[in-house]
Amino acid sequence: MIARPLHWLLLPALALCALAAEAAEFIKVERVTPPPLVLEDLDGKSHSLAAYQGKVVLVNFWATWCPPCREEMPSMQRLKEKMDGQPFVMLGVNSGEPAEDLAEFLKLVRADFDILLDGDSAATKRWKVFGLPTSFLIDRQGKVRYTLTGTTEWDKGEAVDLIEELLK
Amino acid sequence: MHNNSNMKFLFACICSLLFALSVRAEEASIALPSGESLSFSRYAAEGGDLLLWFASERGLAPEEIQAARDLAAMGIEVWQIDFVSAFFLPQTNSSMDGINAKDVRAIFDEARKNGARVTTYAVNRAAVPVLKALSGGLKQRMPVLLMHPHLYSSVDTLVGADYLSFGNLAGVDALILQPRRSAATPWASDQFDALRKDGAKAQLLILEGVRERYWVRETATEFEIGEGKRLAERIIEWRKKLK
Repeated sequence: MIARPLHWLLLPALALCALAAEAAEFIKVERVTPPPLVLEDLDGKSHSLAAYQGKVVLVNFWATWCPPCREEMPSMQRLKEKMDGQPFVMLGVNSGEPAEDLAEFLKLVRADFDILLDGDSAATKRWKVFGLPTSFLIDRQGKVRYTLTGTTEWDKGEAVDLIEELLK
Repeated sequence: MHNNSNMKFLFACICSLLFALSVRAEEASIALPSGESLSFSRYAAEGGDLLLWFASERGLAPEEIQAARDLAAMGIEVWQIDFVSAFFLPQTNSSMDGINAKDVRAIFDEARKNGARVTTYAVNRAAVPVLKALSGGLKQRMPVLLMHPHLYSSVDTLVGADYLSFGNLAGVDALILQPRRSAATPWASDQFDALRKDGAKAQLLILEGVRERYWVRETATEFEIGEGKRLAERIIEWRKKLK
């Protein structure tokens, strides 16, 4: 009845379920040029990833309905505070939600970094994001160096080590 | 007068509820070409409509079992098939991918034996064995409801996704049910295109305000809980879209 299980298919299943595993791992990427990212924040101000050349950038795709995304938000805020004064920028890309839902959420959760609106998920598709949260660490030359599908404690451990390595 | 109609409505609701509670699953089994015997739950009804319900790789949730009871109470017979539980399989996509297409075809043949109007409902990766079984060109049209199907063979962040190819899906009339609040929603149209490329007639319906598996989530919103309780009614509505 049952053919031999195809264990390799477990990986996409995990990536897609949007209930990202807590012990997600950073994946090293060979200096990939990211797709363009030009989005507006809730105030209508446009942000372009290209404008942050020379800085390390954390791009985090997330949604308010995604519990793991919400869970990592406080550690992202602490990371922002920890990296104060460094050439480091955080961009939270809210995927596929109306601005009103996001505005409501941000009344409850502190996020002093730029949150950008990707209401039609066009950027999410361009960046080939298949699970939420998905994060990208981009070096000072504008190349993607690490990706992470799932959550992490952004203000400690490997996350901070990798960001500090990119800041050197 | 107004009170009287309220009382009638309340009475009708209570009767429906009591009837739904009284519907019991009957354990049935089918001998499969592979030599295995598949046990499944049959919720009998006499309307001539039959819903073949293929549970996801995570098995059946109590809300889904209740929905099968509710459907039977509304006149739609349900055969609820849970491969993971029937064959003690791990709760993974690969378990679904390993189901033999001939065995699933035998289930369809058995369902059609008595001339019932068959509709299929497959959840998540259960879409894969169902579509494999339906490939090859059907003699009669098969309406298929695919609840957030995952039809990927691989996904790679920054690179893209590859989709499974099922061969000839002519005769398959599919409605993809995609919860809005899902990381897969931006990709639903690609899954839809993949089905159409294989010859299926496909439609996409975005389910607003809910997440995947909304009927069983620990963190379900009030709206999701309500929709979970109305799963049977929703299935009837979705079925109508394929008529």
